[in-house]
Amino acid sequence: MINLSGIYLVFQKEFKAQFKSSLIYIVAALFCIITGWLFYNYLISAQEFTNRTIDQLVIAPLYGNINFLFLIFSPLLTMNSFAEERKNHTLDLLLTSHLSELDIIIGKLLGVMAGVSFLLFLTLVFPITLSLSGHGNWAVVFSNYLGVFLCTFCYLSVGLFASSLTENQIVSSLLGFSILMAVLLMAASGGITKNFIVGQIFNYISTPFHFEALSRGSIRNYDLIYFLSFGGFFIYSTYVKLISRKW
Amino acid sequence: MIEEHALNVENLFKEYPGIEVIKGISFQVKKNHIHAFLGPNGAGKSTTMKMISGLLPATSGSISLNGKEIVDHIEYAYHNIGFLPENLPLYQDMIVTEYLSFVQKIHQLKITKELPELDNIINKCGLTEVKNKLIRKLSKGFKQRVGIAQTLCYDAEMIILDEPLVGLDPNAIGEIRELILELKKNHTILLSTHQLHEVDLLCDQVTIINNGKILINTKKGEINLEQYFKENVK
Repeated sequence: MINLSGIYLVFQKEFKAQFKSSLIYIVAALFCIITGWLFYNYLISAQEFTNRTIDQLVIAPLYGNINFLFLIFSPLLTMNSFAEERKNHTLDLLLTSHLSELDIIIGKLLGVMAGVSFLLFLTLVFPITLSLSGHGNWAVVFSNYLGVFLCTFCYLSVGLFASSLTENQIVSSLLGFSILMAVLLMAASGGITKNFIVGQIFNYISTPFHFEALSRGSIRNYDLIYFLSFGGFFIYSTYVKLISRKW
Repeated sequence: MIEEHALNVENLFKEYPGIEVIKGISFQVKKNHIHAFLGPNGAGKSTTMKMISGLLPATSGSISLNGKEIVDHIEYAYHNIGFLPENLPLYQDMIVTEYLSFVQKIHQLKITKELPELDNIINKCGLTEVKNKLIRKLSKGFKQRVGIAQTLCYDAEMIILDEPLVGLDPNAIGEIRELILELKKNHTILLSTHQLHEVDLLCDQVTIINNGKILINTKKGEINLEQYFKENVK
């Protein structure tokens, strides 16, 4: 059902298409400006607090905001994935080849994740700058990167699913963004409900609840299960959408 | 000599909720023939072609290629049917060779037989002078050639061309016509077009469809197509 060579072919195509397009560079420029500005501000404001660590004052809020930025950028990065294939009628070309639906979905997902990895790579300058001035808690830095990466995997899965539903890129990105905002708002709903069980369920469904533990350096197995099942659910939904043409 | 059928469509139906698009059509396409599949807009030509190429499932009926039911041998159909839809499936930001190579690779994943050299296909389709150009920068005629070349990349036995002449200037139409006639030597071709005089120049057999039903199956020259259309196709 899954063919690694097929996934690699789709990944290669997506990777090249992504880095040939100006979109990734525009997003990268915006991303660098915003994260650079945030980093600078967190550093300045950290000077006022002496009873808290750099992890709490700079690393956690910085990567929390990077995570939020990916929530906004992910639908933009995935809006082309299936919408453009449909618009250009190339999806039929892929579907009548020896690629399976899963090869196409996973290849595309890995392609956009490579783009996200490029953006994340640019942020390495922040922990390196901190380490040059004495900060040495790389475990927390690693768990923050893991958290951002896993959250983005979820966001991109949602974006791919939204893109598979329409051939209009704007509609695709708005739809993806709406789903992600709904998931994000689950955390707020979890906080205000008076019913403890409902609150816990809402919290568990929302991504910030799981990211928060990782941002503190705590890697819990049920958080990893959550991220994989969340992403898996939307990958499966995209798969169902693609095979629905056969119904 | 008995002529073999490459494609056999038998009592084919296609229904969408509340509407029957294809109403029990049957026709055969002979090997190494160019078979015209004609009809007005909305007659069901593209739907039928998509069902033959395995893109759409039929509600009922049978489609077989060389005696193999395509529902049961979908991989065989994908490998042996090259489909060029009316809207060309081209990646505009790829160069011609990159695109053809990609198409060849995604069809080569599960087969062991040697596929044709890309350079031969590029020469055959007259793409040599534009092979290193971005597809988006090509003229409509060259894009059409790239679309046809794409169907040859994996050595498909049957080629389905949906409106390959639409929007082309007379010179380009002449060139594509020559190319299609050249392809007939090694392939079976099912061709849909609205240009009836091209049918006279290109095709051996004609099937006319209207409102999802076959009106006539005939050899070229047995009827006057223009007159038949005027009298029978509303």
